[in-house]
Amino acid sequence: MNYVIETHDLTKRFGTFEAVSKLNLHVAAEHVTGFLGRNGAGKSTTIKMLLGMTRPTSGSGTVLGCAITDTKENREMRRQVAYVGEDKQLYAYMTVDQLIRFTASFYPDWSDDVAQRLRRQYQLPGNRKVKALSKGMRTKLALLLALARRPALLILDEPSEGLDPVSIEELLQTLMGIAAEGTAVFFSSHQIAEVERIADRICILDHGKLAADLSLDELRRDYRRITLGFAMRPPEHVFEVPGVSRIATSGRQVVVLAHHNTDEIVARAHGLDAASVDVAPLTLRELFLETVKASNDVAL
Amino acid sequence: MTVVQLVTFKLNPQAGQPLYLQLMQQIRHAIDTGVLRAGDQLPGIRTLAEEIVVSHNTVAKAYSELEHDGVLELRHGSGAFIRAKSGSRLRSEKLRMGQERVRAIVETLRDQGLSEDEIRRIFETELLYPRQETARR
Amino acid sequence: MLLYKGWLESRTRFLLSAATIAGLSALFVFMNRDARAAVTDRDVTYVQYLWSAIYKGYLRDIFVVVVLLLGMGGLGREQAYGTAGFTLTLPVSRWRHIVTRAAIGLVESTVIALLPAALLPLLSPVVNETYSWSLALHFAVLWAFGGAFIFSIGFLASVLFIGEYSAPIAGVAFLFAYSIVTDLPGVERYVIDIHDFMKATGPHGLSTLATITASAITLIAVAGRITAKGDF
Repeated sequence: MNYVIETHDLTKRFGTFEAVSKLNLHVAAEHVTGFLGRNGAGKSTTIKMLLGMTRPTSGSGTVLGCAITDTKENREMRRQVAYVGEDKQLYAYMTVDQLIRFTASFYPDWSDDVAQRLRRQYQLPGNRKVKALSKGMRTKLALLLALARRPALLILDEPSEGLDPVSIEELLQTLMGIAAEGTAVFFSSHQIAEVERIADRICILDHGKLAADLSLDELRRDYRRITLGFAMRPPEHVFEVPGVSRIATSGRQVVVLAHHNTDEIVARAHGLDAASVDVAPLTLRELFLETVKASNDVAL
Repeated sequence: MTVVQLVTFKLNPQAGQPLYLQLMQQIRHAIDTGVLRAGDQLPGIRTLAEEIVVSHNTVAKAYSELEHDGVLELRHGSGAFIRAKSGSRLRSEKLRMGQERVRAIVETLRDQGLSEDEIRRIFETELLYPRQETARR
Repeated sequence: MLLYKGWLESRTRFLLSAATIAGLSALFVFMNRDARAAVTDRDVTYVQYLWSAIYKGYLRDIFVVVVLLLGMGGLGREQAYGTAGFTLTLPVSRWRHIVTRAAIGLVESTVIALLPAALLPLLSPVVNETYSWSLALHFAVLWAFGGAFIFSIGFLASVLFIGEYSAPIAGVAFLFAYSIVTDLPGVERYVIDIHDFMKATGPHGLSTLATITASAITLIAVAGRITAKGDF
């Protein structure tokens, strides 16, 4: 497996607060990977450590095979990486053309064709100063600057923030296009519906730790919410089989979240004369909410 | 010279089924209903991925599995083509018969007073069971 | 292209400052009859008057503020503006960012330092006075070195203090404290008073120039180290 991003016990502490805690991330080149987490979960800090903006407290990592803690290697790696951050601010005093020329000078793989094509597609006037651009146009310009350098890895932090629905659709299409051409895409987003459409794999970060790391195919194929209704309240432990991540009882209803052994659970429910058995898939939103809630509860 | 067929597919990320399987089914369905014919060319992986806004891995896997099943022929450099298949007419027959049977069941359930939603949920629940469970029951 | 960016970033400040200094220099020349009484209460020569107006007071203080402000900017300010992520992820070392910005600032402050030196001898004949080029050059050198030192103070302040206004305020506060300290009796033996230096009343030999240069370089190097090791 060719990993574009790999971390080993990566940790970042600010005083006594651990923003990122022994993170072991593995992001493959051929996947579109979504990075989910609540605000303050440590996503931005992780990305900053990968890109050399912030120094890890301990642990290590590589991006495109280059050690992130080695200043020189990290710098060389950045020639092939494009980052579009949350801020999406660009130099206000430059015009669109000036900024394109400026950025192009740093990247040997820069393609003028791509830059000009995207400039036309996004309708960005070349001689307009960045400070006169709307947020949506600035985001598109940031995307242009990222894509025209034809990166091996594209890291995005909340890419669709501030964009209208049409622009979001265009953005997602563009991302799918460049992913198909071999660029690894790693993006963090709160827009779970979007992540669900385009990602192959997702990593969920919660309180600085990796709480989930799975493929969406796996989620769709194996994860189930089994809602069971009984005439009389059943003992929960009956359903404690391997593959179950959570059991919740309210009244005469038992809800089981399982990523494995669904048929075993259903069989046991029938064995207890369940009045109703409902098996439903688990959406990404449900998985996310369950995962970040679970860290506050006692896990099975 | 073949023209790439402009077929569009609608995948449901929340249906509890991997997207590549959904795509495979929809391509098969298009073939069975005659929307796609033997010799037709499907869009390239990148093009289709962009158009239906889905990961290229999904498209690639669907195409690859369908090639393995003998439904598509992937010609390196030119794209994916529908193969001529003798069993396809049989399949559309099966589909038609299946549709008739389901129509009868749905009518019966309606007569019994079940709502549209209830009927739909019963079907969905059944489909989510692995096949052994159905046999055991 | 970092030089290009640095130039664009500082261009407005530089041009305004240059225009102000040049304009005021010219003004002092042209208004020398009327302004002489306002600037000093003694009967002075043209050259002494200009020294009072420009090198001792008014214009020197403006020059100091202007050069201090030239030191502003950098990654701290970019962090406040939200562009730090873009700049820091360029495949460029942090030292290169620092050195580029410092170089541009030093060149700009030197150019501004040279403006009175160029204008005074040039414009004096218009009001039927003369100002020697060698004297002008002498002061130009003093201001160039003094300016470099002031610039480096502003430069370090911009790295230590993040936020639009805190850095210049800190720089000005430091200079204020500095001038008070150097006015204390006995201190001048150990610390160069840069204000005196720039009006040529303090020591201004080669060793002084060397000390000032070393100090400016040290401050910039400290700013560089802080930037290189910092978390953003």
